[in-house]
Amino acid sequence: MKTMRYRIRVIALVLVIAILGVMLWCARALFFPDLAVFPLSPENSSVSPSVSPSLPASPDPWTTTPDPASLPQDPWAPLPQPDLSPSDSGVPAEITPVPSQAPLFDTFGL
Amino acid sequence: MRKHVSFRFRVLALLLLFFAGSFALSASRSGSASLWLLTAAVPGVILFLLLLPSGLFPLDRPSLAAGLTLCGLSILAPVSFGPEEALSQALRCAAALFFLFAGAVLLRIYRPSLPGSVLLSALALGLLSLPLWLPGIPLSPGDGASAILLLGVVSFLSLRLRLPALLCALCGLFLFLLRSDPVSGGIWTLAFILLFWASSGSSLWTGISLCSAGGLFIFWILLTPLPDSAGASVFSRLSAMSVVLPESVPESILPEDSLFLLLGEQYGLLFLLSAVLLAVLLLIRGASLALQSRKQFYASAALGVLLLLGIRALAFLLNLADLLPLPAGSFPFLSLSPETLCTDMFFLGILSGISARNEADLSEDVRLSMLAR
Repeated sequence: MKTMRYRIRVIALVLVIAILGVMLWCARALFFPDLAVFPLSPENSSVSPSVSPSLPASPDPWTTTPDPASLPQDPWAPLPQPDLSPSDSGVPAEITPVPSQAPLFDTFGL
Repeated sequence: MRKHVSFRFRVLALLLLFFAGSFALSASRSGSASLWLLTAAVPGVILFLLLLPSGLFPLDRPSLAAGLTLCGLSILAPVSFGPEEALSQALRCAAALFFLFAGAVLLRIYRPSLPGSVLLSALALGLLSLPLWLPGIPLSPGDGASAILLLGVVSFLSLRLRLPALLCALCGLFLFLLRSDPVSGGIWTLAFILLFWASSGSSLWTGISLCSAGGLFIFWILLTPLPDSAGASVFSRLSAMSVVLPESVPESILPEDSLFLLLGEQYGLLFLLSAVLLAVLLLIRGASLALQSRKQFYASAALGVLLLLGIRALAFLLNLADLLPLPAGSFPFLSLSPETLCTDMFFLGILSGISARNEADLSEDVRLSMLAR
C-alpha cells in the first residue's frame, strides 16, 4: 500500500503537470502567436513574415553566399582607364556619338 | 475553523452569484422565460447539493463543487445559440444527477468479491458489445461501459487476481477497436496500464500488459480492411481506419462537443483557463481521496477515476493545441452527449462514495481511541 501511494502521487503529479503545461501552451499560442519558442535558431527569427508581410524576407547571412557585385569596392584599387583608341568613325570608343537630328520616336525608320 | 468555513461560504456565494447574474443578464436581454427559470434553477440545485446534510446523504463537497461548476458552465455556454438549447442541456445535466447518487450508493454497498467482479466485468463487456450483436440499436454505451469495466477490473486487482483483470482490460480494448473507436480504446488502455502499474506493483506484469495492448493495437491496424490500399500513404491508411482525421485538426472538434470553445468565445481565454484549473482541482481532490483510502479497492477506484478523467482532458487539450492529430472527444463535464455527462456524474459519485468511506474509517478510529482511553 505504501508503494501504491507513492505511485499514485507520481501519476497524479505527472498528469496535473501535463495538463497545466498544455494549458500554458494553448495560452501562449493564443496570446503571443508570433513568439518564437527558440529565438536563437535561424528558423525562428524575431521578425517573421507574418508580422510584416510587405517586407521581403531577408536572406540568412549565415547560410547564403554573398554576391561579389554587392560587396563594397576597394577604395585603393586603381581606377579603370578609358578606352581612347580610335574607332572606325574616328571618335574614341569611350565617347558614343549622339545623332544630332535623329527623331526621338523614329523606331521603324519612317 | 471559522476562517475556513467563512472562506468556503464566500466561494459558494461567489459561485451562486456568478451563475445567477450570468443567466439573469442573458434572460433580461432575450426576455426568455426559460432563461429566467434557469436563473433560479441552476444556483438552486448547486446550493441544494452542496448544503445537503452529510447525515442524509454524504457527498464529497470539494469534488462536487468543481464538477457542478463545470456542469453549470456547460449550461451557460449554449445560451448564445438560444434559450431552448440551454434548457435542454440543463435537463440533460439534471438527468445525469441520478448517476451521481447511483455511483455513491454503489461504492457504499459494494464489497470486492469474485462474483461481483465477474458480474461487473460481464455487464461492461456486454454493454460494449451491444452494437456488435444488435447493429440497429440506437444505444451504444462506450463511456458508461468503461466506467463499469473500471470497477470490475479494480475489484479483480484488489483481490490480487491480475490475470483476470488483464484479460478483462484486453477484452475491453478489443471491443473498443471492433466498434471503430480507437481513441476511447487508447484512453482506456493507458488508464488501465497506469492503474495496473500502481496497484500490482510488478514491473513484469505491467510490461506484459503493455506488450499485449500494443500488440492488439498493431494487430488491429494490420487486419483492418482498407477501401483502397493500393498506393495509399500511411496517413491516408490511418485516416481510412479513422485513426487519423484526413482534414486538419479543428475539423475534429464536432459541433456537439464544442462547448469548451463556445465558452471561450463568449467569456474569453482567462475564463477558459479557469475551467481547466477547476478540472485540475478535481483531479487533485481525486488523488487526495486515493491517498487517504485504507483499502486497495477504494484507492484503486479513485485512481482509475482520476486517470480516465485526466487522460480525457489531456487528450482534448492536446487536440486543441494541434499537438495530437486525433478526434479526442470532449472535455469532462462540458459535453452535450447525455452518456458522457452521466458517466462523468457517475465518476463524481464514486469519488463521493470513497470520501464517505474515508470519513467512516476516521470516525471508527476516533471511536476506538476513545474506547482505549
